Amino acid sequence: MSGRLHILDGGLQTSLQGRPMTGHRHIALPGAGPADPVTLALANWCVGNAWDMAGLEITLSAASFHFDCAATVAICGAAISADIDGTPVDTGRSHRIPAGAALRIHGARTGVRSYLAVAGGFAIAETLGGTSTYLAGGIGGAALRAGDHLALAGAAGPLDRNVPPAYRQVMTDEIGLHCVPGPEHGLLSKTDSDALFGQPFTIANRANRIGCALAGPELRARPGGIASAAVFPGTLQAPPSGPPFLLGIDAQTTGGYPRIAQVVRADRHSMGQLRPGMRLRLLRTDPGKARELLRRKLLLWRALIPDLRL
Amino acid sequence: MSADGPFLNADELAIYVADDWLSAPMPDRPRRLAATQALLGRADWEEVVPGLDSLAVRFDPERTGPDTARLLFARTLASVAVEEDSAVETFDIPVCYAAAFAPDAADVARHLGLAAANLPSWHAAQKWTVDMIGFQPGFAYCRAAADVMPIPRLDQPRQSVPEGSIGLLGGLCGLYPFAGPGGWPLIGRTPAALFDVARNPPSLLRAGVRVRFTAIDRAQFDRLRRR
Repeated sequence: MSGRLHILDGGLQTSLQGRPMTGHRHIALPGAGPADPVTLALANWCVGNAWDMAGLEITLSAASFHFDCAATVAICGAAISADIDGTPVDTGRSHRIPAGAALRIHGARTGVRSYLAVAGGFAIAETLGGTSTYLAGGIGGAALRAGDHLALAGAAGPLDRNVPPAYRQVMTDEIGLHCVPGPEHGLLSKTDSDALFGQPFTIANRANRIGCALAGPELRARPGGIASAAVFPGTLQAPPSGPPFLLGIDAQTTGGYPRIAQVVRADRHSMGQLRPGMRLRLLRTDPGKARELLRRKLLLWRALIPDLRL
Repeated sequence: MSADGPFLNADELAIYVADDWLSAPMPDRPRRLAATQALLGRADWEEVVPGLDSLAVRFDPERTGPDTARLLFARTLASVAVEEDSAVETFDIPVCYAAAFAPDAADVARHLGLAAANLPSWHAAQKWTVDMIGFQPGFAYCRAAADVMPIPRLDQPRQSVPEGSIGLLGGLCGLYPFAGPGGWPLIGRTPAALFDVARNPPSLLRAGVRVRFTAIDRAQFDRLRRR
């Protein structure tokens, strides 16, 4: 028998995110998907799901859900506390929720996003090859609000899985992201390039799935615009005025601002936890070293989640 | 240096390579479009992204290293045959130029040196070709065969541009498939479904196709919109 999860309170922003809608950037569709895919994979691992099965991405504030059937669930990510009908439960492990119970995920003090995985997943149709929500276009769904509900696919049996300590994601207020220079990096002066990779930035107040502005070292020589060209999540743009802007998972596919750096694939999952006020260092690397970094990171993660890809 | 060979030709040298994407300058539109089609047909690339004067691909660095990606890309480019322009499909896009849909028509007409009343016939008479899709899913950047006087961006972008809006910016014409913020001066609105996930392909337009705008009145717009 399958039941439903009802949204009691979606908080700041809650959406279904799973496999991205890959392969459509030539028609300007960003693939969407979890902003922090590693943490969704961990939540899925706790309940025995495939690593990229769609779960709920919960942003910053508290959110609550009602289950009209029993289910096995796990919460991983920024939230460090939750309760089931008022009884505190740990994050980072599986829980059995009785039929009719309410699950409340508390607000995050560090980091931004938490993921709720339900054993067996949700009964949802694929959109353009993915199971994710592109919020700006309402493609694959929309932000979930009080009164919305999702059909559960129907549950696997109870599990008791706890994320091993070595794999627990510790959220901090300071982070380093490896970057390669962007295509227009050469337009920066030596001084500005040194500042870019040498001095810390602070995540400004504007931060969401589209991206975040970086306050910090003033880049003095500002190159002009370029003819609209490809950008990707992790591309750092330098607009003619104002702070550099780091593109997120839902950013548009092309842009006209100089692309001065690119966060490498191995580190992009961490961008999903960038929170206003956090300190960010851009760590310069090159494509060959970035590939090695990815290889090492995946080796570690696959010891727990064998199919994980980044 | 790659194991595949130590020599890079001039094209390859101009390629920018990150750890999982690369981009090459490609100002020639027929070549860019032919290369886009060729690259979309190959399993080497996760994404293919044509820009206004460049072409980028994203690859999986677990499978493909940066040097190999550069060589695979350059080899595909070298084998691309550029199509005759005459083979290109033409799409008729109905546009209602009613004042309610064209808040910036007077300013745009002034920039173009036209009487406001002549803007719709001027717009419909141009031969437009889609240069690229960007900004929003299915948003077409169209370029006219004749040079168009560049139109400046709105000083204050609108918080919400209605779906189907048609704007002019620089020398280009753009079509908004989705409501959202936008800075293009607006001259009309189309009832056509520019992006529909239930359709294959979901985007009505793609880079390289021709666009012919035809004027419709408000009653026709409302009728087509309801469909």
